[in-house]
Amino acid sequence: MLSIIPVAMTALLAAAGPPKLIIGGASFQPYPLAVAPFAAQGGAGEAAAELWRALTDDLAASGLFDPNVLNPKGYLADPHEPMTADGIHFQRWTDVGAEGLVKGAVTTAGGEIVAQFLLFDVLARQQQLEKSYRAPAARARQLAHRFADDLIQFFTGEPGAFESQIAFIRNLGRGGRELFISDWDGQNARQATHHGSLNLLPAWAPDGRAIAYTGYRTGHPDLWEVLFPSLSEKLLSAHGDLNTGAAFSPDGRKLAFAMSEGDKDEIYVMAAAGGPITRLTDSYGIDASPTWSPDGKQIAFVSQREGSPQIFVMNADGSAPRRLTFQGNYNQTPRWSPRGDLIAFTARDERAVFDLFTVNVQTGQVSRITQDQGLNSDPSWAPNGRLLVFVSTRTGKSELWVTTVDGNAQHPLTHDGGYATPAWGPSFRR
Amino acid sequence: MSAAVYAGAPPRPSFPLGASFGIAAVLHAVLVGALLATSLFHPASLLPPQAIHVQLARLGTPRDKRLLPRRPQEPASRPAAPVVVATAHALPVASTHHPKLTSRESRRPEELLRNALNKLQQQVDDDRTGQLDGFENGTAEATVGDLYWARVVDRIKRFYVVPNTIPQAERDKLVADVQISVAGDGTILEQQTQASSGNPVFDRAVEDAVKRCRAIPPPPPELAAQAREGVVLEFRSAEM
Repeated sequence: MLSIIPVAMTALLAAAGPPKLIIGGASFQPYPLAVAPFAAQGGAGEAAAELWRALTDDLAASGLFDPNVLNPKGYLADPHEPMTADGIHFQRWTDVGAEGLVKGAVTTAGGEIVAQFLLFDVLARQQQLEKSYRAPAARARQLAHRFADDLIQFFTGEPGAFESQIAFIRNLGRGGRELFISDWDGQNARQATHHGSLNLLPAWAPDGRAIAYTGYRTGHPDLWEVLFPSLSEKLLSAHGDLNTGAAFSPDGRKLAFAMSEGDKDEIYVMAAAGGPITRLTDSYGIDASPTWSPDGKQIAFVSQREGSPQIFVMNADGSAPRRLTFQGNYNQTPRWSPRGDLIAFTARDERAVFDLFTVNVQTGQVSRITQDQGLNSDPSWAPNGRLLVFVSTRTGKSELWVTTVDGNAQHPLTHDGGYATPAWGPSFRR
Repeated sequence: MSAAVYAGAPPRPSFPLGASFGIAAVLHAVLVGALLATSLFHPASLLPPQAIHVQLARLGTPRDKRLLPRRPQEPASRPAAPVVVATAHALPVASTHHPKLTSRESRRPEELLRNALNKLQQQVDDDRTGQLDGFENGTAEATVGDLYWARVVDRIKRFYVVPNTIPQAERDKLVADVQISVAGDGTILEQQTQASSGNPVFDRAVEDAVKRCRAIPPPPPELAAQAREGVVLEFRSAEM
């Protein structure tokens, strides 16, 4: 009879509830989305293939989608499979690990390319999204970029960045390092300057209508601005010995830059339209490379005032400077994320290798993006703050690469060498 | 024994009603006394259980905090290096007779390769951060909690994969509870989502994690009943 006591105790304890294990830190992995080859009609076969390549490249670069599932090279996609949920053999797509499926149809009409894109949930066997676009044949790739941005918006609720451009400096030999702009993926590159001299460090105006840069066209390093679409140029600053590192404020009204005069290397600000300059810093060491916070209230910069080059932050009027990085002894080229939380920068590690890092503005935590892959430098944020374009020598030549903020997906944009100091421009769709 | 006993049920002993009530009252008193004693000396055992947060520790020496951090693993896009595999077939075999090698001669390709690999491994070990007393497959810097539950968490974490498409703004907030029932051999017998995170993608990923896990380490005897009765797994998207 007394055995009832432990039984009752166990029952009472069980009534208190089961143990709870806390499992934190999800491993965020790419979503298994497949993109079937696009159907082509009316002689649009080449355009369909081009759009498919552009879309899969965009999605792979985003780091959001599994590259092993995106590209159906490893499995046989039925080119005649219907475009409706009723006709799609979803089990085949499940078998290759896909949970989402993009299908597209491309045709021509009146000299334009017309594209229809559909997104399906493979597990639920239903259509989730439908988009149709049209564009002149010469700009057909923009349709893929637009749908890529729509997919990013659909899955993440955040804007994409593939309808945007990048600016960069290209070494053309014989002393000419010229300013170029291209689509975000390095395609459709156009030369913006033709000086046959050294040009450096392009910086986009927030509205995308101008790029400021340092140019040696007169033999003196001055700040210049090239305007679009006319490509006309305007001198912004020719003070002191060196004008460099221009950065437009987020509202486009001001321009911060570094200017050297004698043994003083300080940060100044001026109206974006030109005019008098105002000094923001005054220290014994070099101050350079200003970058604005997205709200325009602060400026991060590089300073040697405490010995080695480190990242500092100050108010936009130059007050209250504070040191942000305490790891590493050679930190440079800070770029403030459009989201405001991180600053990307280049740093030399203990192995004397330059790599990309981010520092959290609030906590000061430093995270590494690149590692053991050549020299990596000059990060520039995509307008949505998810990606960075940068320069890497990992293939033996200076090429443009793009990476996710966590560094888990890194893709080359160029392959012919001679690229430097990229700057990611604003999105066309804001 | 009489034949009547074998032919039917044994006769019930007649027991006075008052005595029955008396025994019941004594037993209840003993039970209440036991509960009071338990609440006095082991008060936590009668309270709802607290969430168990356990993690295994990682092998290696802590990295100098003045140095820039290193990534725990190579980026996925790094070109795959050719794999060198040393096998007996890869070595020239002239005869079954193996003359004794001098120390200089013994430094042949296989040894050089082994030394190089050891050196590489040493370098990799140097790069790993964590505590000296950590487990090789550990997942955190700290050593806390019960070893069995830590192993359970470590096992489930291997399957805890969530699509990257979840918005950044939600990644620090999502929480979903899944209750599992576990057999003595560790097989997960049942699973049921008890609390949704509000994000269907996250909920589906959590359910998939438990399904793909299929089994956890077999519970020790003293936890077997509890594991079969039910264990709640609280999945949090944020790092603990």
